[in-house]
Amino acid sequence: MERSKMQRLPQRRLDVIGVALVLLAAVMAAPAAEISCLKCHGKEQGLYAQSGHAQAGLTCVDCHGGDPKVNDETAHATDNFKRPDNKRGIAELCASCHSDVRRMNPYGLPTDQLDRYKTSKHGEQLFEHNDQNAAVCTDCHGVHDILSSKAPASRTYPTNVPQTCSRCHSDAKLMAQYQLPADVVTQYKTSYHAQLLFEKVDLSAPTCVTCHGNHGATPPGTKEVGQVCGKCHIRQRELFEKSPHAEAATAGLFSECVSCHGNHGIQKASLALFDESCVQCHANNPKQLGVRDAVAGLIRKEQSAYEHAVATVHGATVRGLATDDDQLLLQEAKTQVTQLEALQHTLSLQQLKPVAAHSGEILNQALTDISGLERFERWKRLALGPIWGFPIVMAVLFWAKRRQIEEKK
Amino acid sequence: MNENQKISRRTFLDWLLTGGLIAWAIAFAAPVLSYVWPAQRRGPGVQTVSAGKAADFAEWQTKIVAVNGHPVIVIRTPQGFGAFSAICTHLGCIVGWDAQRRQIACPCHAGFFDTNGRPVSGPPPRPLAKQGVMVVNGEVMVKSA
Repeated sequence: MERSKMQRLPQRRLDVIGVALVLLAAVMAAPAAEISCLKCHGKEQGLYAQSGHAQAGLTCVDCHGGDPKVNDETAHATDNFKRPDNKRGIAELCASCHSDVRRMNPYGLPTDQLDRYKTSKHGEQLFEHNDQNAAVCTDCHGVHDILSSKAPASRTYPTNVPQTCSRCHSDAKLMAQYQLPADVVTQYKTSYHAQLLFEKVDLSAPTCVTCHGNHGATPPGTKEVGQVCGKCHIRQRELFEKSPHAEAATAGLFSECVSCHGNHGIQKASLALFDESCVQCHANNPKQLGVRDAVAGLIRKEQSAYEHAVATVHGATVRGLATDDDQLLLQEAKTQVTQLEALQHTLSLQQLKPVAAHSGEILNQALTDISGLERFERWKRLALGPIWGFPIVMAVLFWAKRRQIEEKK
Repeated sequence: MNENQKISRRTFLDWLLTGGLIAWAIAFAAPVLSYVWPAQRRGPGVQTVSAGKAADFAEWQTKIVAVNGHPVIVIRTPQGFGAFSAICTHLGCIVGWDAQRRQIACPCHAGFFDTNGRPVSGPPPRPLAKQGVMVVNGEVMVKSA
């Protein structure tokens, strides 16, 4: 028994050594591509290691081809070696995988980026005018360090998009060649959209690509502005279509939403817009300014009535009155007042008045409830006098009665 | 001895009368003070409210009920009952039901939510807050969040 154990031991050692050698050979063979490329391209490897492509298991050879077994520059001397020396080549190299449905399906990625890109201003400049300044895939996504747009460090993550676009669109010298303004990103950073994106970290807030598109980036024309804004501001768009402005916009007389709200530096809409924007076109038309005053006046009246009611109900709540039902009425009134703000896009007093009237009724009901509660509270305070007086009177009577009894004795 | 006993009885009665008066005054003062003092609490934090009989809800029918002063939308789908805060996560309007689309709709900016409260289209950035809902003895009970 003891002897057979001794005989098996060398055999086991051989097995272990054999397995180790096989593993070593496998480890050496598997990363041959990286090791061979890294001999000269160590810097790229550092960037690549964290990229989405590396995470997907792709190696240098998958994009660049070449012979990974060769350890010197002759590794490039193959038919499949690719190192684009112009931007068109870059777009085509990326598309060799990203337009391949079979390759992209496992990652759930779209395959129409190149087609879309060719319809964009960037793509037109590159493919039609061979303009090497035009942004191509790598200008926005990076080269070896490409990350999924879902990764917060990605150049295409929503909060990083303005910075990515500004790399070209804030370059005054470059933009001057195309007669484009170089302050669009600076303007955007002052906008309400940017406030939502950067301060509230609302990732659904619009960035450059939400309005202009990404791969198919094209500035919306005058006629398309409403459609672009209407992707998010659906109700406003729908109501605008019913306004007298819709006809003027169709005739190309003004640029729908942008004419009143501005574009890149758009601010949160307020009633001040009526004072600032309408006069730009209607300064000499008292009739149209009259419509403006009537619409703005109606909204202003309901907004201040709502604010007054909110303050009244809040005050009552602080004083300890039961205002649950009135809070609900306020919520309902808020719904009506907010609807008014959207409805004004129709410029139709006929549409605004019923909503304003409904809001007024709700607010009146809340205020009537609160004044009833306050009246009851006042009555309760007045009732304190007799409540406190009664025991004092009783005490005096007891005392007098006691004196009477004592005197009798 | 007899005189002493009479005096002590009188004193005892005086104490009783004075004590009684003080107790009476305190008994009066305490509720009056608490009645005048502003309310510090809103009552129970979690409130359960009836949304009506389950049998009265047809499939795809909704109802808005007030729970703790907040509107809650109750929906009956083929999977059962669901309840969500009826306050739109965009600008706080009260949402309604779009029977044609079978979606929760906000009348202010055309935001739509599915029957699980998740935003489907339009500007709402977040889902509607989910509320507890159960059927107890045939009654649909909605719990505050």
